[in-house]
Amino acid sequence: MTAPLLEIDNLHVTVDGREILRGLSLTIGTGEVHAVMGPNGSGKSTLSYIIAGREGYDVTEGSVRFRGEDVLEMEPEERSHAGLFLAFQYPLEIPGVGTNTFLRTAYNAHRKAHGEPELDGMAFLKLVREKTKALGIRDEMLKRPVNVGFSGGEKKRNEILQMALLEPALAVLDETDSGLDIDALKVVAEGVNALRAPDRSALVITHYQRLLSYIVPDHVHILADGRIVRSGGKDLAVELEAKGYQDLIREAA
Amino acid sequence: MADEASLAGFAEGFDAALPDLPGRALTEARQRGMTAFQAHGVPGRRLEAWKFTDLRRFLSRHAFGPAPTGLVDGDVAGRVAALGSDDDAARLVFLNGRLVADLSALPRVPHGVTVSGLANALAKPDAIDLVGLLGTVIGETEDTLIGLNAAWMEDGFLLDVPAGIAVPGPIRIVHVIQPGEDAFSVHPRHVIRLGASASATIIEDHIGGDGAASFVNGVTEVALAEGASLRHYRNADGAAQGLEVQRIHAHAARDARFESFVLAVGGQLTRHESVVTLAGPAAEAHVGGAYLGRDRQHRDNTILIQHDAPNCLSRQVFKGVLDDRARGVFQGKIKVDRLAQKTDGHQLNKSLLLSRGAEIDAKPELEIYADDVKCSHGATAGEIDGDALFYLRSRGVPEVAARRLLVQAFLAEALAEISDDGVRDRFGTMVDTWMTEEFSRKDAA
Repeated sequence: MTAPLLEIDNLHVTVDGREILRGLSLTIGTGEVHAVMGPNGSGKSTLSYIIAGREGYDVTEGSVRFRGEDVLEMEPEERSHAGLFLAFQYPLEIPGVGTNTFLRTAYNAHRKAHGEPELDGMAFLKLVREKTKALGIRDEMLKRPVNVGFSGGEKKRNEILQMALLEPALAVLDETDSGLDIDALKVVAEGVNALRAPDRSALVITHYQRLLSYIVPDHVHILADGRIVRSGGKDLAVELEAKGYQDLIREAA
Repeated sequence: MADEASLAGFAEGFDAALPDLPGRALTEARQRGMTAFQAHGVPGRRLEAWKFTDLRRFLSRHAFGPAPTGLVDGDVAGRVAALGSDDDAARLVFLNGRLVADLSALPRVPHGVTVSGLANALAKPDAIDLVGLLGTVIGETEDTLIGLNAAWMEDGFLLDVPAGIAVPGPIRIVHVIQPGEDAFSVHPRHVIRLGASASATIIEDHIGGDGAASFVNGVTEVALAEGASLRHYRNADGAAQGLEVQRIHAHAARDARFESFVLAVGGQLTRHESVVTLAGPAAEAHVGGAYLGRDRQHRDNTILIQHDAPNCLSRQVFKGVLDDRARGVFQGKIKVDRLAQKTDGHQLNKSLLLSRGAEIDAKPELEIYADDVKCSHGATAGEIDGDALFYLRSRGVPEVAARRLLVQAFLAEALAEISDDGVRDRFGTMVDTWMTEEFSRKDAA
């Protein structure tokens, strides 16, 4: 196994006094693609938000380390600068902020955080056009306010576009397949696969196996009731598809 | 009974000052105004229209006298120049309410168009026509502040555009308040008259220094003939200790269009009150504003759109950002006469509260006597959207920059109401400046 990039150890998280994660442990090595699968209410979204740093989650026990650093002590923007990225299940709409402005602000914030000069409008536009072309995104989308009036597919493509621009070391994809038809799903999967590299990792969080036919994981974990109950190779996803969550979780128990 | 000690000097000293006030033809109107003021004094909170703006309390902290004459601050010219402008724009500069000829210029006013200071116009024998216009838009009123203004008006600007003339480029009016050692009050009166199908754009900038308190009690009368179009923009960035009440009364005939926008960014208290009467069919009123307040600043926008004729359209869009213990007031009313069928009236007020101590009082009102109309209103107040903030931060945008971006986006909707590209850009820059101060202050805290 390669050097661990993300190490989650015995993580307990409560939301409004209710324990959602109950001793979750997960280690992701550099260059690996992991899938976490679980039924509704198993804690999938909580896992993604706790990695990204959303407020409202209380960690009562355990730790999350990224390249050995305590993630839970970092602000959301610091996590982003460090190379963490969350593709949202429900990307936010931001009226009044143009998509291009949003992308450039985020991109230059990263440049600045890394001590690099910011890109001017022209240079950035050239960069973003390369990325949009590869993802089949029309330029017109860049002029519209962030995600306002976007279709479900456009919103997810916009997430992948942001990921392609920011080139994170670890991308967490939270139910990226939800609300997508098969064509949009393929485009999104191709976008993710294009970013696969020996120094990049991904955590794909999903309810269904179908996304994993396009983004083939190295490791698959089953999340149930706030902890990983079973781990395996990519075949585990296929087994899950055949047996269903109930049987697999019962076997694991 | 003018029981407010703060403005008592203007009641007690009126008779003695009357012979020296400009325009003998106005004497009776001045006396009527003083009678109205003395009847009830400064409007108190028991008046519905002043329920949320306690002007008496603000005024009571000072004793206001007349503005000192001959006060020339060497800095004024520089500050006026710093406002920026194309050099060939017509420009009138007022210092503490009085026209400063040296700083004013009227390079390219078309033939037949009058742009003048009120005091100058009143001094000329042929000024009677304009004098005749004074007070006619407002008509008989019991409003005590308008009465006080009528009694004490000394200067202001007059714009008279004959039928068919489109004034090219904006006319710029700059009001400088240079506080002295003692609190003072001025009562400027402005008159704008556009003939049939005439058009003009006016930009008023209010700037001021720090020092003793000042109370500006301004009144503007606007008469738009058939098909006339006025765009009136105000940048209210007045004196730090300034209290400013600005009323505009506009009368729009058939097919006329009145557009106004107020950016309220400076001064202790601002109240911008617009009363627009859509008197002829298919007239339009677009009244918008953005208000920014912090510390204990008070920002009041009070609007009445009176639909008196059929097929008229009105739009009110006001958005504000309030921090610390700043307080905002929005009172927007659409009144539809029974004759005003097919009225299309809409108003929107949104406030962003950046601290728990900030407050907005919003009072949207519809009063409709016609049965075939389309009227709506909406008012919201809230904090910055936490989810949107997290989304931006998760993309690496630092918290302060993310907040700023969201506030900017919030105000953009109001600024979009400004139809003049240059003014929209300029007001956008001024909002940016305010936000730079706002957020650098937060960074330091």
